[in-house]
Amino acid sequence: MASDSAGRRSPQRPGDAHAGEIPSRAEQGPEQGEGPPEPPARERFGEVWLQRLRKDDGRALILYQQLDRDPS
Amino acid sequence: MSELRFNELRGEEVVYAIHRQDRTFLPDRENCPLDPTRPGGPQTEIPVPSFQIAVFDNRFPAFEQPGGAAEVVVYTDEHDGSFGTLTPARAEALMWVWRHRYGELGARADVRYVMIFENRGVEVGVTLHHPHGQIYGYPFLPPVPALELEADARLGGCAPCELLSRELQDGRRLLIEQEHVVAYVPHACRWAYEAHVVMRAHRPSLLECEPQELRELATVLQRLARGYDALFERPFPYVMVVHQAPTDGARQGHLHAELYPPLRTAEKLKFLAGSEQGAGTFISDTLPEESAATLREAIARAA
Repeated sequence: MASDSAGRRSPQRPGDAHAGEIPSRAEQGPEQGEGPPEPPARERFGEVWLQRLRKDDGRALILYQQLDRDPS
Repeated sequence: MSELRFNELRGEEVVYAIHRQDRTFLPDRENCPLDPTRPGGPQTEIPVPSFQIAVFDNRFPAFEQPGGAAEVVVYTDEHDGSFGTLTPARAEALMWVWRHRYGELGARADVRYVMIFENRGVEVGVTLHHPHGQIYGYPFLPPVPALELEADARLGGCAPCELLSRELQDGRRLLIEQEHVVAYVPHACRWAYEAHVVMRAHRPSLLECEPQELRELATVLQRLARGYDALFERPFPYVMVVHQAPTDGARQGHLHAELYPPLRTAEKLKFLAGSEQGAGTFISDTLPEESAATLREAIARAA
């Protein structure tokens, strides 16, 4: 089942809190109102940042960036 | 939308995705749909001028919600190169991307099995040369992972754990041994230079891996890929698949990658012919122990 050789883990379903990683957090979303559209909010997932976008035809697109190249 | 039909004689699903007939086929590099969209250049699948790793819904999906998923994973915005030539940091980031997609797709009710894979080379049907892989979210449990679960039952526990133990004890087919990850040519491989990359600890999926295990998985996969290229001093075609636990809640499985290269010599391909297709029995003209020795030397040369 889902325990390792040292028996450290319990069964888990994919998507349930993503075991063993740095907790995710979402950054602030775009401000409403003035100016050009802000880029979508970034989320952290382990060692990567991700940004969720939609293509013109509605298909999902996710851009990932290595943590150590965080531009902010 | 694709149509599934059940082949009673084979006991398996067949997917009819007729819209894929018109998918982009080996475009020239100026019109690569996986390049970034550069100022003044053609609009591509990725509407930004640069990126690191991009994942998007396949324009020509074999599966789509609510009947599964088909995603494209672009490893880099550089058109040339390969998985083996990515920087180590990028390859490690790719493991996190795989983990993220496995978690999200696997949590969907319409996805029972998530398979991450890469087809490399025209010999295995690649239609775009830009370094990329794919992810299918199957709405059913496909035959190969189902057979792996049967192997668990036959061996009385986790089959990859047992087979890894046997390979470590035998030693003749080992390719790469690291703290968390081992690569070997299987005792009864189907392809001349088939290799399996297996986690030492029992990890059903990428979700259960520690960060250092993901880093090492990337390292071993890249060393193997570069060793393949060194083997015949040419870009080496392969199919690479990542097998993990089905996402139906049971969490039975053991994370490992299987690589199926079709070359049996520098110039000759192994074809699936009468025995392989008609009887399901592979006939190989290379012993796994000899392949492993040759491949070990190539991996050492490529290091």
